[in-house]
Amino acid sequence: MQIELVVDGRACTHEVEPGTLLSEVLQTELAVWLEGRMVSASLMLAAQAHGRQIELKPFVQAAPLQENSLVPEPTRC
Amino acid sequence: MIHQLEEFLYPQSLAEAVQKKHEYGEAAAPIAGGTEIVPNLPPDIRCLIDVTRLGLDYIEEEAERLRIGATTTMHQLAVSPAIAKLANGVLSSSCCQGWPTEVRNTATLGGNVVGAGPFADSPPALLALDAEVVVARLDGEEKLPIQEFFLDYRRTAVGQGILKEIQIPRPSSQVRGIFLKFGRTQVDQALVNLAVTLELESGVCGKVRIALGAIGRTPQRLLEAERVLLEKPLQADVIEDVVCVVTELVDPVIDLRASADYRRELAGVLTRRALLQLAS
Repeated sequence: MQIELVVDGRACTHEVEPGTLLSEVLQTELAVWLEGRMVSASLMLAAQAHGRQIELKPFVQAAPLQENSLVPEPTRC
Repeated sequence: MIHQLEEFLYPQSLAEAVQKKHEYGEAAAPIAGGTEIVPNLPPDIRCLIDVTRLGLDYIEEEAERLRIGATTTMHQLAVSPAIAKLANGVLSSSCCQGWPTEVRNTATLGGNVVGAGPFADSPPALLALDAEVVVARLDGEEKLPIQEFFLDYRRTAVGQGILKEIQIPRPSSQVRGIFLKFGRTQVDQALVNLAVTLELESGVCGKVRIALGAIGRTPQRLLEAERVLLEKPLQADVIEDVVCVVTELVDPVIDLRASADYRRELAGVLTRRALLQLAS
């Protein structure tokens, strides 16, 4: 199947299998942001990203403090 | 690469998605965020149906209830002021404890519910909130209480339908709630998770819901423990009675993470902690 992605502003077309992971298409060590949100490309199929905007960013940029602040302290026994 | 997949479909409407699910039967499954199904794809699935383009990512407030679309992400729920107002944010808490940011941005409430993993965090909160699920089927929509939705380990009543939304009746302002999770690490799945909601009027417990996850094959409400609290003051001796009933009632699963005895003990500890916090 053919999918269309926009990666860092550049439109591209890829021929993939339905079971191809997004990480296999992008082959990057950068953090993957899909439609403005950081995602795990190894838990996502390339087909899911069809027609979507992708940005690749260094990981240090991809984990703002306010995101982490959502996670409360773990419960301890 | 997942080699067993042969097709990936993009239906244009919920009705078309339901039609495709019906056509493909057990060989097809809906996919939203994919964080549940991609790493745990059942061996008989050959086709995935993308439900993320059907406008099902909404949180709508109505006078009597909140309606949450099935593809609403955990992140959307965790930051929603409307969800935070429900019983002290019991559902919000369940959507942000132990989820890495990348997963929380993609995982959906529908996936967490339909995946029916016994360790999932949102089901105990939804049970404690008396949620109802709306399933789209060929012959229309079916609404059923969430406690009737979980049938067995990773098996639900969704059948050949597609989960459309979850409805939560708006609790009264007297209702307090809490969600607690205990895991080996902050991002590990729960060894035990627990949600409690109760209505306190003049210090006496009215409607009570106690729901546990990661204990049995499905998340469950502990009706007998709820009855112990009913019309009693929320005080130390009553709380200890509830803890005793909880530890007697549960029949925990055993896995590589914890023994049954450890989970039973944890269920009691979390129950005590939750009730003490609600009492304070």
